Amino acid sequence: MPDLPVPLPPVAELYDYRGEPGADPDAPPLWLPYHQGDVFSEVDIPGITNPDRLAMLFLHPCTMRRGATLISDVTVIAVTMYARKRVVDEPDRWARRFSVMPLPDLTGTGKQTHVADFLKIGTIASTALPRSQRVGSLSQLGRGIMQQRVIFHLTRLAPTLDELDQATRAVELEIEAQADWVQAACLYHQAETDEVIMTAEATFDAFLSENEGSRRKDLSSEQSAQVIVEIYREKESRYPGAPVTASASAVGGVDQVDRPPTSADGRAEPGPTTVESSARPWWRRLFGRRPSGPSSGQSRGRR
Amino acid sequence: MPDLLVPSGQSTASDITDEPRAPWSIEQYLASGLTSESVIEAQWRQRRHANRRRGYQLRRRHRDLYEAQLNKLREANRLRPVPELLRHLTSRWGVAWADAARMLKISVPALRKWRTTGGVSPENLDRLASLVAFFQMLEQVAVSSPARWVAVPLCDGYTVTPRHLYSVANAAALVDHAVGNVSAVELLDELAPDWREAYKSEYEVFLAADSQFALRSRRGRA
Repeated sequence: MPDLPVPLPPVAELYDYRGEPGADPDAPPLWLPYHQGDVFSEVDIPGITNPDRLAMLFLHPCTMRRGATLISDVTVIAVTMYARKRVVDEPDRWARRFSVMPLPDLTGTGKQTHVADFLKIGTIASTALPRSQRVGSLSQLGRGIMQQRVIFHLTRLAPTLDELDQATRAVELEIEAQADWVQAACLYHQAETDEVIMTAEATFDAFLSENEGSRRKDLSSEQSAQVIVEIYREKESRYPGAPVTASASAVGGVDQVDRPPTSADGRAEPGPTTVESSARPWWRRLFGRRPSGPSSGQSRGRR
Repeated sequence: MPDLLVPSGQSTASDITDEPRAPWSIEQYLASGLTSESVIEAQWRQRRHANRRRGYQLRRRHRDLYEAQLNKLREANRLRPVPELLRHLTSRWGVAWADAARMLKISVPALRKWRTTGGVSPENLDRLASLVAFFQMLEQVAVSSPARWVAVPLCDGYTVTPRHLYSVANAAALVDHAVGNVSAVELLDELAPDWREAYKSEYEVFLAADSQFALRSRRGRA
């Protein structure tokens, strides 16, 4: 039996996306559904000292979603700086620290390490987590490791990653399909605005919920593959020939697809969920000196 | 151990097209000094050994056929655009991106980029073409839902699935199992000799009262 909880994998395998939307090419796309393990900036958690103002979504999608959207209040974990000047990614360093989820190089700068502290959990309004402030999204492997660590921290039980994968497969399939659906809508409309994203999420939810939710239920059954086929065919009929964004060279080219597209009417100002680029990198804005005081709750791209 | 089915002096080289050799004459048996029981036992063991060796050869030849078919499909797939290949995976078979990414050994975001930009390296194109060929073969050998087949555990009590084992080199062996020529245990012993340790599961997945999957201990259950 392999070591449980599993050792921390290489940094590149922990995350799907890292960076500031609108500024970093590898930032979480705005069309990406909310998921367990997503990290947000500029978040205040009532009753918890969180100087870095970073927070990670704690709940599993089964409990934090109603259909395709977040519930009104969600549970988050405070994410704090662990090492300011280096990436601590050696598995041995984390082999006995099960009250945290290590987040080496969360900033993608090769210089810092954060942790999501399971001892600092609170509930906030989901409106405090606009997508424009999502600065990190774990990979499926990263989520599995987080789940394993949380379960071990709370109960001293350590299911394997494969066991967790089997138990969460249906919801992972749904979120993956939703991501593709909403991305297709954004590409089709050539915009990643609140309106486009929320409308697409609503139509996706409606499609899964047809016939008393039989498609959603079938994602948990032997018919799951057939449901995926139906979703993709429906998506292609609703958003036919969704245009490709910036092209890339055939071999080893840098992909530009995750950069927000310009608005269709050529307006210079960004839409509600798009983010103005900053003169300073996001990590410097986050970890440089800031005036103290509670957040007003207002943020760019508030939904 | 003398080849008791073949009189001494003759070739014992086996061939899959050989007819069973003629047994010894009575004089040869008497000259060997062996008792009748031991002779019969040795005969049977040799016959089974010869058939097992022939079985391995047949398996190898059969898998060579699967390899040839996979290669032919792969070469045809290499000529198709990448977005079309990816669309085939989802729209025809319902393959999850996470499963495809795992089998291609890349990340899901990278796979999404392939889908929208279509630009991949020749090496990755080859791997993608091979993966699509694999699913095409599964469909051809009448696996009703190839996407589901690769995600279902091979043995009860163990979490290992075909997608854990998939690689271009292992594809023919997986097809061999899909058809029913080799059992799951035989396949695992061949491709993942440590599977009994590495993939043993103390839990089983079940559908809870809220219609969501959950885990429970196997202990004490039938």
